[in-house]
Amino acid sequence: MPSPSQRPARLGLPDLGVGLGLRIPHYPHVFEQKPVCDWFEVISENFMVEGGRPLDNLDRALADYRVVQHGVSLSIGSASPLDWGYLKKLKALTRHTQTPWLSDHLCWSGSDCTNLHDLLPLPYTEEVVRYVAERARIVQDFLELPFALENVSSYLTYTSSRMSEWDFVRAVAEEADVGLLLDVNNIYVSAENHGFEPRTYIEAMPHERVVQIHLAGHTRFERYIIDTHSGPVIDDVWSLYELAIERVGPVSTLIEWDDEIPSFDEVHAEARKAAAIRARVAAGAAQAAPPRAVQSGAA
Amino acid sequence: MTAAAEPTAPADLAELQSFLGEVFRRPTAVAQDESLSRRAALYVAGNDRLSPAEQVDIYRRQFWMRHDDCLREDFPALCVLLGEEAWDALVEAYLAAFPPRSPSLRDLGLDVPTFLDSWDGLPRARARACKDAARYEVAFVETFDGRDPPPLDPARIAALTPDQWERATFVLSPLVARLRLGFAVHQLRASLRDAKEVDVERWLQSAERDVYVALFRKELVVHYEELSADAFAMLDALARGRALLSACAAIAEGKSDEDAQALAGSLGEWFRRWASWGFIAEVVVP
Repeated sequence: MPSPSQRPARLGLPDLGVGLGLRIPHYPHVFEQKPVCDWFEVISENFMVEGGRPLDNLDRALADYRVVQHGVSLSIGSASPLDWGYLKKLKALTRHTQTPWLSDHLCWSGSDCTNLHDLLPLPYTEEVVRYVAERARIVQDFLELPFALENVSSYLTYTSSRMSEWDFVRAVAEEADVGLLLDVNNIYVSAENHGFEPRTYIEAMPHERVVQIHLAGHTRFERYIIDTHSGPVIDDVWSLYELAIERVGPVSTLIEWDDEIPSFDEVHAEARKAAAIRARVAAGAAQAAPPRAVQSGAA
Repeated sequence: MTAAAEPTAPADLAELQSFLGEVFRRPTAVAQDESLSRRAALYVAGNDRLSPAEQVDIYRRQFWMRHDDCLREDFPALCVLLGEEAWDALVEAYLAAFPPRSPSLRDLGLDVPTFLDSWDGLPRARARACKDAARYEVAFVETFDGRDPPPLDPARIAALTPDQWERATFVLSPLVARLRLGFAVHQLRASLRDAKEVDVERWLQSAERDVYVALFRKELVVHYEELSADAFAMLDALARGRALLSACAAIAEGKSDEDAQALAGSLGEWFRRWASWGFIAEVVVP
């Protein structure tokens, strides 16, 4: 395995710019008006069906846009065996969409044959790192596609955890040799819920493994925050995003908005904010860079 | 790639997930159960704002909200027929009897009709209508995103001789569901889709009758068509593999000459419409 300094940024995957999650209320606008959007992310499970309207909608998106798949049901950290029927359907869909990479969550979603349809945190131990990393390797090999794991938001911590979340995420990504989908809002939510410094988390990531970033809103309750993907991205999360871009460099960024979804234009305005931050960071980096040597023969 | 290549889960991870998988599916708060709260504290740390049981309850509440929302979306007619209280009881009992197993929420309610056959929580006066609604709404889910059959070859169909037609059997499209109902639940669902107010008591009185419905997908849209009893019987006979002549004879049996003639006269129109709606996936000539 190459050392971090030898690995290319984003593990060599392309920077697609700033995209949006493709959501049903926006279908008429997207398919009829074909607005400018760098790329769309689709939830794999919504299209793992035999036919009908869902696959037709997917094909309409594929006809005009770059589409990246993101899953919610892999359950990479489940104590139950991998679901090979699910994986075969998933692989078939990746062939159809030509997704440049595939992501899912670093979590468990069920066990003992039950699926809770949730993104549940794992205990942070060396043993779990080894177990999950081995499964992630198997999945990546089977899919024959770059695979990325996303950090989840969490509302509980385990008595058995023996390391920080960021050490756990980093260790799994390194040991599995997979990419990371860094959800900056999830870092903020978990930091608020568990009382850690979110910047420490971002600094500790293996930055060259970050192939994508997620941004979203959340809902604050009296004693905790829930990652509802509702409302705009808050200022604190934008600041964390700027830090992430400074460390990672330009990387495919995705705005998620899943609850009380507003107009396409309102969601797209969030994408423009992200693009502006990327541009500002890039301009700052260019200013800070040493001047290029004058080439011989140049005027 | 085989499952043999997979690592074995750490025993304490399996134990933790087994415990939480159970408690997240409890309908009542863990924090209100002292013994369970103590067990939760063995696995979950809590913090200065939330006890371990309260942290568990965040996920537990989300389990119920998520699955309730999904079932409401798939069963709007059943939900209205039951009313809020009975609906809540149904969701609780159903998810206990049929815990979610599929990675896809699309499959969550597929066992509702089976469950209702033995559930004693159905309001007696509405039990039959509820069972009809459940069957219809599951058929709707399956028709919505089922696989299209390969298209019929029109040249081959056109070349069939009258004799071949008589002996032919038909393969119906998997995207056609045939439902014999005791209530017009298809109309109830259509009213709800159109956001119309429905007085359930009044609807129950007016909607009880023998209903024969074909639910099918054409050009990505799910449609229903109410059929006559004879048309439904014909479609049913064809679906069971009876040849056209034999199916006609079976349906005409016991009918007066006049009714038998009317039946024969309807056949052409039925087939024209069924063909245009894509009911027939294949014609098999022995």
